[in-house]
Amino acid sequence: MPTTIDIENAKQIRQPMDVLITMQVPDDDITLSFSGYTSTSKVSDGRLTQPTWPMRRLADLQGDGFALSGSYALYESLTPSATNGKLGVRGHVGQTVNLTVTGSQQMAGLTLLVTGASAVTYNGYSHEVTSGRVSFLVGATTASLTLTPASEDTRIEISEVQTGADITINNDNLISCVLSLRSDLSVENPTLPESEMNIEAYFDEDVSDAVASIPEDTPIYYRAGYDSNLSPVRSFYVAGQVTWADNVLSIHAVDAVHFLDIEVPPMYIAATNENDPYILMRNVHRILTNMGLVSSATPWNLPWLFPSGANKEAVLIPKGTTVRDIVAEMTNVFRFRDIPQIYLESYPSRNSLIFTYVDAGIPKLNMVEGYVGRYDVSEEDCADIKKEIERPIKEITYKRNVVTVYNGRPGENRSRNDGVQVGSAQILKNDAVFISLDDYVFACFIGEESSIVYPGGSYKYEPMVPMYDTRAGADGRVAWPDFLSGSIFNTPHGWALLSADTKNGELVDSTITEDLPIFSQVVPWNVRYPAAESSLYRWTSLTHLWNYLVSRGIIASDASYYDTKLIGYKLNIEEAEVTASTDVNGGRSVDLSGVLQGRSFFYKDNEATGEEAFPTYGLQEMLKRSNVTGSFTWKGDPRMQPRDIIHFHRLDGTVEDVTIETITLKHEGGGTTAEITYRKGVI
Amino acid sequence: MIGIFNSITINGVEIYRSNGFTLSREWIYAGEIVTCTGKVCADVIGWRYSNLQLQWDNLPQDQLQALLALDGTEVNAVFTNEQNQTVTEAVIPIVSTATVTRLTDPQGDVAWSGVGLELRFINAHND
Repeated sequence: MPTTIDIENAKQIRQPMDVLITMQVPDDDITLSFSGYTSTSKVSDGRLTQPTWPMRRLADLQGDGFALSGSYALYESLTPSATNGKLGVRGHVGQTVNLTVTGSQQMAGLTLLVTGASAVTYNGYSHEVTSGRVSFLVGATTASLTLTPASEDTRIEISEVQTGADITINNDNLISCVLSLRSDLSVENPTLPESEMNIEAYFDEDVSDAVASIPEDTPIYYRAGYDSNLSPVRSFYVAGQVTWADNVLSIHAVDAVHFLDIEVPPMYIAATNENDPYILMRNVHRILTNMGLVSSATPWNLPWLFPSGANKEAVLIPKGTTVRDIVAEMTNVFRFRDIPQIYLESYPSRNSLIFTYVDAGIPKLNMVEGYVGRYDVSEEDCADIKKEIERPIKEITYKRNVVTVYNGRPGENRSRNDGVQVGSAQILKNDAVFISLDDYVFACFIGEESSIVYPGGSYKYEPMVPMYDTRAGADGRVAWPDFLSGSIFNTPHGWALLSADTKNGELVDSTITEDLPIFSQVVPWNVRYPAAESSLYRWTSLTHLWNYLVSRGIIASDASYYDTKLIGYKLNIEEAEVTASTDVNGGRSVDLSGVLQGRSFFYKDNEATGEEAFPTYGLQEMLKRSNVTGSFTWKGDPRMQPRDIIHFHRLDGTVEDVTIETITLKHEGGGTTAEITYRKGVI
Repeated sequence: MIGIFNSITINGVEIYRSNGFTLSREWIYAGEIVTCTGKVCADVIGWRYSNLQLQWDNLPQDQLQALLALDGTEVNAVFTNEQNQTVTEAVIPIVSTATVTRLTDPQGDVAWSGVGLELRFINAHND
């Protein structure tokens, strides 16, 4: 059923859209005091900052009226409290009420909850009360207010005064609002671009003092459309200083993508067991979600990107990588609308990972394709129509880095006192380990071919220097101090943190510091604690720990000793390539480089053909992207956002499906237009 | 006394309504685009009165002086609209006809013929 926006957009001359922008201006830790109301109020106790206290009924004498005994209690006589309620400030019927609000520091704005009033006048300007609420900017430590009754029969009742205010911008004061919503559908190393909104609005009153205190990242919400058919709320965040000049308020706001500019500590995540690629994917997922990515996919239903039997997979996150980098790359190689057949055959219940975009901001990671808007646009309604055709791409080469770690693994001659072994074996044969700093991986392990490998350590150690070299005790077991506080176990049951205080030899709950930023977030998800214990497992003795590890199958019950070594080695990163190509004549080749280096996205599901799932499959998907792009100017629809699909009805009667790459939606002079760029096809 | 239906007040001076006093409205558009097929798509954000041509057969001396006093700045015009409502609109005179002829009636009262004026309406409405 067509909506109002659809109906209006079908018209050549349409009704103007409503634009509704609200921004919440916060005030923190300001104590309010009230005065000036006694002369104009009929009854009051000045309790206006107790939101949980009910407003006592004014005519309530005792119970719901006179008691049979004729007794009654004066409302004034009750002490205001959460039980007795409060009086707030109540005026005489049909008369104005004055109120002076004084803050302990400058107040950016005030919000009043009031009934029976039509408007609040502050500093000569009247602010309408709607739905029992009025909000306005102040920018001063003292505000003298005059409340006007809604009619001569109503009584003004102020129940609450809060600091902070909403700035509302709508068609009445909007000069212009330009939204630039962006995605990047290019083939060559697409980025995760930032969307922005620029607003100019006219205000009669001088709000310069109030807006000067608006901090960056203050949320600002945008909607547009028609009554009962407004677009979804788009969330933006104030960037830079809100300015006020010549009665014009200028706001620059951006979407949430910048929150993903968080650097991920360099990290090496390896997986070797049958199901470990799944664990590997869970770890990548966890990194992203811990750093702010929205996800509807739980760690438990992530896809098995690697069929059973895959092994030797790893992820390397180099120094300087941000979550935004990872998302941009994963968007590139993971966004499949067609689920790879090889997965469906093997794991029909598991789909692929799809990034969908919310508010043109932080993408949301979904197991299945999320909502994608689909719209019909006729070419005959568009202006400035342009079409560009690039040279087709015939080949995509993905530059990956193969990570090897020099040595570190004890050779055949494995003993408690072995030092660093030099040889060709890679360190991480048995299980996953990661602790990294810069381009170095610090690894530790126990025993030979054991099922436990654990890292640990502190950044205070220099790279290339063994971080810890234990000497076993007489019983062949490691002495207490040799376990480092914060050691991480990657057990078959998940990651576990060993908390130890090496100073006194007793295991205690350690404080996780910023030295281990990832672990501090990862651990609570994964540690398997006995329920009766505290949040961190506390081993009371070495024997206790030993028994725990044996009971969990982490170490063999007949093991007589184990070595612990924490060794740091420089990574050797070798560049390798995987290529996907088509038979497009005359096409060009492009090179891509990834930030999630290593072999995590590579799996040879067919040894004979050498076919690889990732990123080859991703590259093949990207090769399907059309080399046809275009742009046009249209009347605009505020519901659209990048990556939505347009059924473009061409003048020749054909219908072309295109994917929106960017939209510049302009609300200016009361009218709305949109400049849209697209890439042909459904991406 | 000039009646409300046969007069127009310009800049506070009551003047006879001219011949062919025809009010018409025009839409105000925003977000206007000319499509590839030449079609104009736009949002209609309001209306205003179209330019109004005023032409008098005869105009008394004092009323002509009131018109001559207009210096091109914005003034108010009060008149009866098409719904028989008295409205006040901000206008600016944009064209005046200067080929006037002086007439004197037998009582010696001076009138002028050939006086013309075109008004442009400033106010926009969205009702």
